Amino acid sequence: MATTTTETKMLTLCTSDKQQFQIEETIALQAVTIRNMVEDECASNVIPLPNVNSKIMIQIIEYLKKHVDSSVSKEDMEKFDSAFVEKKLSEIFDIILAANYLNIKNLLDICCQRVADVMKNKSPEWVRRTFNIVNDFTAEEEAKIRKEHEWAFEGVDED
Amino acid sequence: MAALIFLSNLNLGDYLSRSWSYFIKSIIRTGQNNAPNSKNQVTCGCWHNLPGDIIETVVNQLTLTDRIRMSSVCKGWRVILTKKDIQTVVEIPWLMLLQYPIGKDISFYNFSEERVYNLELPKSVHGGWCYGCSKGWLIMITGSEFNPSLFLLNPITGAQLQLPSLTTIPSFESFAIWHSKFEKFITRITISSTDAAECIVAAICDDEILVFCRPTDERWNIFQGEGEDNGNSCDALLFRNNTLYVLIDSEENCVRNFSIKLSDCQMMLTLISFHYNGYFNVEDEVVEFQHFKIFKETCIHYDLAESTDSELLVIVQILDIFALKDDILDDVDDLAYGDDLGEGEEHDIGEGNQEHEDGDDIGERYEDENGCPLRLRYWKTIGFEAFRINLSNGHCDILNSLGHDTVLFLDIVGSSCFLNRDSNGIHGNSIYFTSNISGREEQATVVSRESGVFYLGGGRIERFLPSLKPAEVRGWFTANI
Repeated sequence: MATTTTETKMLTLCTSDKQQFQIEETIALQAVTIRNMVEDECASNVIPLPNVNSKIMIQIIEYLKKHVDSSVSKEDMEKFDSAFVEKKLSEIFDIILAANYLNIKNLLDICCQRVADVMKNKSPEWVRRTFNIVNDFTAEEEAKIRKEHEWAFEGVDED
Repeated sequence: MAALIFLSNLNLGDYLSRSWSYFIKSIIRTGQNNAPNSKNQVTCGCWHNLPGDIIETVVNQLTLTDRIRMSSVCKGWRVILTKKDIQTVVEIPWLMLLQYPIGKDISFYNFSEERVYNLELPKSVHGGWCYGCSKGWLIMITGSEFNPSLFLLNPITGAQLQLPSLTTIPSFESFAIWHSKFEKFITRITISSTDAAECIVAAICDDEILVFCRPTDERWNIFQGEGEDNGNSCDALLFRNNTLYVLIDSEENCVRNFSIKLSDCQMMLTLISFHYNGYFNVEDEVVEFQHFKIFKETCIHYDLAESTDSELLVIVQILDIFALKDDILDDVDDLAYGDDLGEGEEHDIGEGNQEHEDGDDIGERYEDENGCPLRLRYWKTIGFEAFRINLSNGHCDILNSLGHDTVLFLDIVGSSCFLNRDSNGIHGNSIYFTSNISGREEQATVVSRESGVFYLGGGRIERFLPSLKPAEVRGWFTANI
């Protein structure tokens, strides 16, 4: 196990693209998946994270570093969180999958909140375009679904 | 913030005055202003393949309206988004707007979206009567005094739930003989749960008879009490979990608990005796103003509420009565117990008084005696007081604050407390009220301004909502599917 001069216990994480990240154990253990691996002692010196690439890992470490700091006020933490999720949706998508895999509940929540905020008051067409989702309803099916709650579709943002 | 409130009410006002084109234009403008930086958000990633539990986490953050819209994005999402047990965010209640005679639509104003929704009502409810809304259901009655049909309607899903007939309550028949409006037999009514399979309905009939049922029951259960309850008026109802709280206007200040057996479940019943002492100074304070005399703080109206930290509250609404100068108002005793905010016909005004029958006895009676029409009486809300009840001994203490981010929504059916942390123009430590003084009278002619917000800190009332038209019902609606 690597140690620094201040005796801080370090962990090495290895991402899918074989990049290695050395971080303090207290920071890494916020991810329940990593904590379980360490507690079950199935982790050697290097913890492989085959579902997370280095680009996303850097952002997740940034998030974890902030959240391990108990001196940050609740207000400042909220500010950090809302700034943190101001990313492209494709990045949010990757962070969601990584947060889900690493089991970092709060990170998953703030990213899902960001996705929900994007959908706020938008039409299904807009959401399909933005999230690159193929409409797999037939025209009849879609018309029928809309007819059920026509009121909900009036006056929404088309773009 | 002020601009937001102004705009939202401008929208509502425009809606109410039916100036559609402007209303729609302003919606579109608002929409554009509010649109987040939607450019450069085009993305790839297989969003439709997200694991179901992640999509559920997203749905937990959506409003009900957004959830309905998103359920038509693709088949995969639809399966998850239409699941019954999935939760959406707790929203500020929508303002329900319903005009008599009840026709083909009902409207709701959503403060957070600043939009009016028009929903279609099924044919079966046209021409009916609506008591208000509770737990996502409208409580409605149609039919005649011989065959009244009381039911719940979910305006979002169209689901209907038939309730036992009022004719299974013995005193209904005699009430219906004396009152042209048989629907007014029910003074208060409330529901325990959004879930049709679990819910219990409780009502106060003719001001003092407490009844309850499960929707599947054949008849109403009538609470017999302990004998001594006879004659005390029941003034407010609140369901909390599986317990029904009933406020009884009595100076005893005590709490009594009962266990009630319903057809297929147990229900707890707690009777709270409460009396508000800070009112009724009729003789002390009658102010004359132009053609009117004002009976200060003469009328009170009780409500029960649950605070955001689960305490039981009694909310007292205090009203002035405005009457014409030559209005004798010797029935002020009756009017003051504002169970139904001054529709005095449900109180005894003298034996054999035939005016009971037209549902508008006050005006008629004085017309006979004085030769002038005296329909002009107005109940003006001047404030609210909140009390916290100690359920172990019935003692109460006055609350100076509900909490800086707590908002209480109060209407003719009941109340709901809401923790507001968003900057949506809704202010904390306040009571948003809408009381339909004239709205329940189909023939009413008086426009009511008794709809707005009361700030507990400072005691100020802001009548920011457009006036209630005669024959209009309003309520706070929490949508549910």
